[in-house]
Amino acid sequence: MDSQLKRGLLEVCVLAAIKKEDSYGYKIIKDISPYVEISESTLYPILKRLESSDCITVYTMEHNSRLRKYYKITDGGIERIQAFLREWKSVMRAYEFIKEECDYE
Amino acid sequence: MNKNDFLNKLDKALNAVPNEERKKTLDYYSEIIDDAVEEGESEEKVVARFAQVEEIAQKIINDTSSRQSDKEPVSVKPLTRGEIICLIAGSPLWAALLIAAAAVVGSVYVAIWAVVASLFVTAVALGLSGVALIVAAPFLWTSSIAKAMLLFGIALMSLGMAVFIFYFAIWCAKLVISLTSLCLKKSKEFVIRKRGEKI
Repeated sequence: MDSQLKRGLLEVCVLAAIKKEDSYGYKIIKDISPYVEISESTLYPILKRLESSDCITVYTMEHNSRLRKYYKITDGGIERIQAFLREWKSVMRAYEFIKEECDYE
Repeated sequence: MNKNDFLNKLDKALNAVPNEERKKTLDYYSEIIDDAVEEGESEEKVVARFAQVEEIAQKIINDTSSRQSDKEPVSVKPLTRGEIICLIAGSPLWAALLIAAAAVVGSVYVAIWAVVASLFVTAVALGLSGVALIVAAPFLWTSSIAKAMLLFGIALMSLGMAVFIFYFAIWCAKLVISLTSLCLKKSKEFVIRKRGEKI
C-alpha cells in the first residue's frame, strides 16, 4: 500500500482506538493489530504526529508503581475521524464501481 | 536480549538525537515492555518482536530531522529569561559588531556602485568634450589646418570611446543589479532555512 495512505489510515485507527476511553501504547497496538498491521516502532511516530497536530493530548499516570503515558483524543481528533469517514464514503463508491466493472468482465 | 540490554543499545544508537527526544523514546519502549511483561510475555519475547535497534533509531533520527524542518516555524521557541538577559547584557558588544558588519557591507556596496557611476560620468564627459571639440575645430581652420585636423581626430576618438564606455557601464550596472538580487535571494533563503522552514 502507498506509505502516505497507510500512515493516514493508521493515524485514524489510533484515534479510533482511543476515542471511547484514553489508552496507552501497549493497549493501542493490541486493539488495532487484529485489523491493521502496526508495530511498536510505527506507533511511536504516529503518536508524535497526532500530538503535534493537536489531535491528541498526553498525560502521565501512575500504574503499578511506575509511570504510564495515556493518550486522550481532542475535539480536533474527533473531527479528524469524522472527516475520514466522510471522505471514505466517496472512496467506497469508487471502489464499488471498480469492483462491479471488473466482475462483469 | 532483555529490557535493559535493549534500552542501553537503543540509548547508544540514539546518540545523535536531542536528549529530551531520546528520553521520550526510551520511556515509550520501556513502558511497552513493562506492559507486555505485565500481560504475561517475557522481556526477551517482546524485545524480539520489535524491529532491530538500528532500524528503530534510524526512523527516529529521520523523523526528528524532518520534523525540525517542517515543524519549527509554527512553534518558534520563546526566549528564556536567561537568554534575554544575555542578549541585553551583551548588546554593547553584538550591536556594535552588527552595525560594523552592516557598515562594511554597505560601504563595499556603495563603492561598487560608485565605480559604475564613475564609468557613466566618464562616458558623458568624453561625449561632451568630443562634441565641443568638433564644434571648436572649424574655428581653428583658418589659423592652422594641422591643429584643426588634430582636434577633429581627438574629438572622433573621444566620441568613440564615450560610446564604448557607455555600453560597458550599462553592462556593469546590469551585472551589479543581478548580483544584488542573487545575494538578496540567497540570504533570504539562508535566513528562512535557519528558522527551519521548508523551501
